[in-house]
Formats: sequence, C-alpha cells, structure tokens
Amino acid sequence: MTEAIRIEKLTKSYGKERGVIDLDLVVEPGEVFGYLGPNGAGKTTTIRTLLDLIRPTSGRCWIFGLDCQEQPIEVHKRVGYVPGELALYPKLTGEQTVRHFAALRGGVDMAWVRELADRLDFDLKRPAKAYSSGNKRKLGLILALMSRPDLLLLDEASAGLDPLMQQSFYRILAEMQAAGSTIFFSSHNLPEVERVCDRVGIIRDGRLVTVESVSDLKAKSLRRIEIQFERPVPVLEFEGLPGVQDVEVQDSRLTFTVLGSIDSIFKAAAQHTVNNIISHEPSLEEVFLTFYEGGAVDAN
Amino acid sequence: MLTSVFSKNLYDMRGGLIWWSVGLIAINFLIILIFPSIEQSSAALTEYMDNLPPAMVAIFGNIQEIATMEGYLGLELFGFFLPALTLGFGIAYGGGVVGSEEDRGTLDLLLSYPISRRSVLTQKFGAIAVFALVVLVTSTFGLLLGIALVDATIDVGNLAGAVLNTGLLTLFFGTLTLALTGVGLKRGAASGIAAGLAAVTFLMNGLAPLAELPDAVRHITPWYYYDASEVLLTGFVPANAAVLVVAIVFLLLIGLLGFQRRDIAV
Repeated sequence: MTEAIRIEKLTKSYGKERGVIDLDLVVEPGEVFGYLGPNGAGKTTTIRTLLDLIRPTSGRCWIFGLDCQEQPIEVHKRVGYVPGELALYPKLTGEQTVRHFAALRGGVDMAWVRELADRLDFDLKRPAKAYSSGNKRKLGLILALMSRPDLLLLDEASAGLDPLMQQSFYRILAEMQAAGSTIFFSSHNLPEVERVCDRVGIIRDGRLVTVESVSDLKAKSLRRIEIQFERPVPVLEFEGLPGVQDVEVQDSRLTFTVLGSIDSIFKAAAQHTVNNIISHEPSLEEVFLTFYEGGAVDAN
Repeated sequence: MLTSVFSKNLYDMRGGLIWWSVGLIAINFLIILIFPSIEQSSAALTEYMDNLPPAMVAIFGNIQEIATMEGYLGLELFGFFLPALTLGFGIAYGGGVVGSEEDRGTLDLLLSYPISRRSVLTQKFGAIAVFALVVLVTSTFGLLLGIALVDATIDVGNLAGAVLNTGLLTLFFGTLTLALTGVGLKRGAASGIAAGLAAVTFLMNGLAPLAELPDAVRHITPWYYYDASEVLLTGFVPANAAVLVVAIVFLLLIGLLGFQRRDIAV
C-alpha cells in the first residue's frame, strides 16, 4: 500500500532563518503520527511544504503517492488541515465559513458538520470575530474534519482547547483512525503525543532526530515523581527498584526519578497509605537530553 | 452566495459596492446640475481659461468645448476627478483581495483546499472587474438622470465609450496592484507603487507635449489610451481600449506567474 506521507531529503531554508534540513520521513496509512518538537523546530514548515503552501529548497514529498508540488490539488482533495496560526474570515459566521469551504471542497455531509459542532460544543451561528481562541480552534477542526479526509495534517491543533474538549477531540481522532484515516499530529507537548499517537518523530532545529514508537518513547522517558504518604516511609524500600534513581525522602514525602515503567514503585508505594501523587512530565529539552546524552544531538 | 472564491469576494465587497455606487451617482448628478450655469457663462470662462498657465490646460483637458455637455464632462469629470475616484477603489481592492488575506493569514487555509492558485487569483480579479462594472454602470445612471433633468443632451455612444475606458483604466491599476501582491509584495507597498505610478503616468501624459518630450512618452502611459475626454468629443477608439485590455491581461499573467511560484506567508 502507498505510504500516506513520504518525505525525501527535504530542505527548506528561509535566508538566514532555519526551516528544515535534509528531512526523511515516512508515515504509513492508518497510523497516528506525532510530530514533536519545540516551537520553531520546523514542524509548521514541514506541514506547509506538504500542502505546497511553501516550496522546498531541495528534496521532494508525496502524499498517498501524489507529488505534493506537482499535484497539489489532488493532494488537497485528500487532506484536512488545521493551521498552527489559524486565521478565519472575521465577518463570516461559523456556519457561513463552513459552507464556503465546503463548497470549495465539495461532497461535505452537513449532518456530520452539525454532529462535530455538537460534540465540540460549538455554536455555528456567531461571526468568527466573536469567537474566543478556543472556539476558533474548534471551527478550524470542524473545517479539517468535515470531509472525513484520508489524511489529517494537524499543526498544534489542540492548543487553546479546554481539557474537556481535548478529550472530545481525541475521541473524534480515534474514530477517524478506526475509519481508516491517517493522522499527522504536530505538537510541542509530549504527554499529548504519548496519549494520541502510535509513533513519534522528534524534530529539533530543523532536523528529524529520531522516530520512535510511543511505547519505546515511554520506556526511555525520564520522569520526576513525588509521592506524599500519610506517614514517613523508609527510603530503603524504594532505592534499588528497577529504573528508579535519585530517591529522596523528607518526612512523609518521597521524590525520585524513574526511567520507563513506574510499576515497581507503585507496588512498593501501595504498602503504605498514599495521600497524593504528583508526576512532573519531562520537558522536551529533558527528553532530548535523555535520548541523546552525549550522542548525535548537540544539546545546545 | 459563498459558493466560490469569486462570489465570496463580491460578498465581502457588498458594502463598498453600495456606497461607491450611491456616492458616484450623487457626484455625477451634482456635477450635471452645475452645467447650466457653466453653459451660460461659457464666454467668460473660456476667456478666463485662455489665461491659465498652459501646463494646467495641458493636464486638465480641452477647454474650448466647455459649453457642450460632452466637453464639460470631459473636463470636469472624466479628465481627472472620476478616474481619480475609481482608481481609489481599484487600487484598494486590487491590493486587498490577496494582500489582506495573506496579511490576515486566511490565504494559508484557502490554498490548502482543492483549488489552484491560478483559479484563486483569477476569481479575485473577476470580483474586482464585476465591482468596477457595476459601480460605473449604476453611476452612469446618475449622469443620464441629471442630463435629462437639466434638459441637455449627450451622445450616449460616446458616453458609453468614456465609461468603458474608465472601467478599463480602473481595472488596469487594480490589476497592477493585484499582480504586485501576486508576486509577493505586501498590500501597502503594492498599493503605494500603483498609486504612485498612476500619478506619475498621469503627469507624463499631460505634460509631455508641453515639455516637448517625444510622443512615445505618452504612449507608454495608460492615460493616453484612456483619454475619455476625447472619446466624449470625437468617439470611442476600439484600438485604444484594446491596448488597455491587453495590458490588463498581461499584468494578470505576471501576477499569476509570480503567485504560482512563490511561498505563501503566514
């Protein structure tokens, strides 16, 4: 079967500014691919090149075997896109916006649009300029999802959604995937990518540093965890557990760093009365450091 | 109404369409209402104008015919005032249809749909052309109404020719601005260049004979082919209008070429 996305040796430079450098990437049909990187890493540049909004300096890319630069219209027919910096026509209402873009695309099921609006708790009747940033984001999602595209290109699509709506959004994505859609999901938020994606590509300074399955990523990710017990606990019970480092006990509070599975520590903790658990997700920088300490990536 | 880029752009212009039409109908009508008093004092006016500096006469047109409706309109309306106004909306919309969509960021979303850049730009051009046509045709009714009211007559064929040329001149500068945003200039820069060129070429065309510059200087200005004042007096020259049409198509092609090749800004 044709790959959903194939990128070969893609370089895009903007004068002095960095775009992407020598990028190779394949996304298989039906997968949810996380594209993880800090702001300015080149995520948006990659997506906008796939859509032929910007032209590669060198290299090529294909979507479902169609050349993104040679056959953009054929590509666009199969793609739904949520821009990172979503802009809408301020004077059109949500409904007018949907109707306009639905007419440009053709074959949009308005019942599905209404269902999406319901599920995202979105009022289609108001003019776009009256929408909050979260509501604009919802409208952007409806526009991208309304044609049930074969490929969704989502550029920081959940930014600005409240946690409840993020859950609705993730459920819709899961349904789209179950129905056969491929999802390319860019984000700078590691837990979100872990939650949603099958595989993750990490991009930094315009270069793809690795592609990992989410389970591998989790196995390699380092987290700082804090457990508040009812009473003080003996430090010896926790030191030496697999993957656990930097154990500290202060009265009844235990803090440690854990790499990969947190199962053993929870089994040990369960011997005592636990009042609270706080998990500090690693920042992206910490992930990079964990992955590439002294390795191929320059940590600056 | 929002089924295409063309109709969406016209829909966006609907407020402007109404106000420009109403405004120009009113201006046209008022200018006609002054005509009877001009007609009565034509001898004195002609004498006064004979004493004006030749540069002013060269720029603002043929004053000998001010006592006729055709001559009067050529001098007072089509010589400078009307095209100056219509170029205003031509340049504003020419710069806006792509320029403000790109500034605002909506162009990014629009071009991710299954529609070619060529089609987007052409449909936007079409919206400007229809806008200019509607405004000029409706405002001409203001002229005809006024002319009937003051009991004067006019050669309707010549008037239609002058209005057509005004439309073409407006579209020339509108398309120039559109093409400049098409090749990647920002809206403000494109509008500024177009407005500046409109002014410079107007003066070139008016002053070239006076400055004893070769005729070729006039021939490279769109105003030479526009010359609606002369059309009112002596009739429509299809070849001149054709030059404007060819120039508009050329500008549109330049805009298309640039727009298809370049990166879209966010």
